[in-house]
Amino acid sequence: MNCAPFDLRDYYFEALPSEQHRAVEEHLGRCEECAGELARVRLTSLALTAIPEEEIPRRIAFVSDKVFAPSPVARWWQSLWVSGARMAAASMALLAVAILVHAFRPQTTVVSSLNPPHVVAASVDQAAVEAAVNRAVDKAVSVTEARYDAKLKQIVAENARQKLIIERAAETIDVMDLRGRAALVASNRPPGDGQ
Amino acid sequence: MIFRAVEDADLIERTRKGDVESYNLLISRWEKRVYNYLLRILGNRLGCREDALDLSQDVFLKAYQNIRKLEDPSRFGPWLFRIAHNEAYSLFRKRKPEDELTGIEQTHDQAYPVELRLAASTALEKLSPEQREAVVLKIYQGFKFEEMAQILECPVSTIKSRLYTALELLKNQLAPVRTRGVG
Repeated sequence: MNCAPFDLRDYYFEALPSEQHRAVEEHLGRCEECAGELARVRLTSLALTAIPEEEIPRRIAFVSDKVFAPSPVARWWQSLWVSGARMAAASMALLAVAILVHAFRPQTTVVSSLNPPHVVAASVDQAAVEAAVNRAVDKAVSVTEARYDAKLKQIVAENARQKLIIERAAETIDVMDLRGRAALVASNRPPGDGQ
Repeated sequence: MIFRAVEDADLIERTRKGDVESYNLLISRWEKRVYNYLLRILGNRLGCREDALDLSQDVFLKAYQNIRKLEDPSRFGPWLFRIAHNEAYSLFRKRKPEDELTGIEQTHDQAYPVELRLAASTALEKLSPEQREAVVLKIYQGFKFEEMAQILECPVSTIKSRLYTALELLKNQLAPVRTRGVG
């Protein structure tokens, strides 16, 4: 036991109001027995600290542990939003995928899958369109054929005209050749020959 | 200390909004204290470090799951230790009596004489679990009596009674060694 006005252990653990703390402090200044008792409390506490704190052998897992971690989708979404660069990269990747899909998807499949209620109407319209296209094609073919026939006739006529010119030129050449030969024969005939 | 409390409160708010990294930072601040608290109240038995580590993991998991229930973020420390206390006592209840005192593991720290460390460790072992926990929370963790009352959910007078009785027992047991060691 001690004669301190308040509990020395409360004083040591700083659990006394300031006035009581000061009162004990003053008492300790003049009471060796209480000062000794306080020293023993302090030494006991100090002796306990001979058992040191230990480093934790393994860090507490949180993010790395699947039990703790949020779902991969949530983590991806969260990391996407916190990074502007990642958001931009993801946007570009999404755009690239959209372009690829648009480029390679079969048009009829997409129409039928995207608009199933309009499949019948689409097939009816397609028949009408097909007939119209056929008519247009037939008309275009006939026009083209007529144009080709006319052109062919023109070419044939031109060929005939050119053939006639060439034949006339050849006849002219033949006539001139005959005239030249006749002139040569006449020039080689002796003077006084009556032929 | 005030700034640290504000920072913890801020981290808790961020954690509540889904920022996992903030909780990671909270763990890094508190994991050593929680681990050592558990280690000391579990007692020096074979496998006590693994138990303390496993319990620490559970403590931080439960704290994360219940972080929205923490009314005053500035009281995170006592709240966290309350969870740790519950986890430890849950383990105590599961333990079979024959598993107790299967051996004593010794640390290899050379800052204090081996004799004093052994004596302190043995003296702590002789305390009742309640007395030992009061000593651990006050001497090693430095909690205020009001915080200890929150952690242990009992009146301050009860806490003081356990602590001072424990100190009296420890004083008597450590006196011979203490005079040769640190005294």
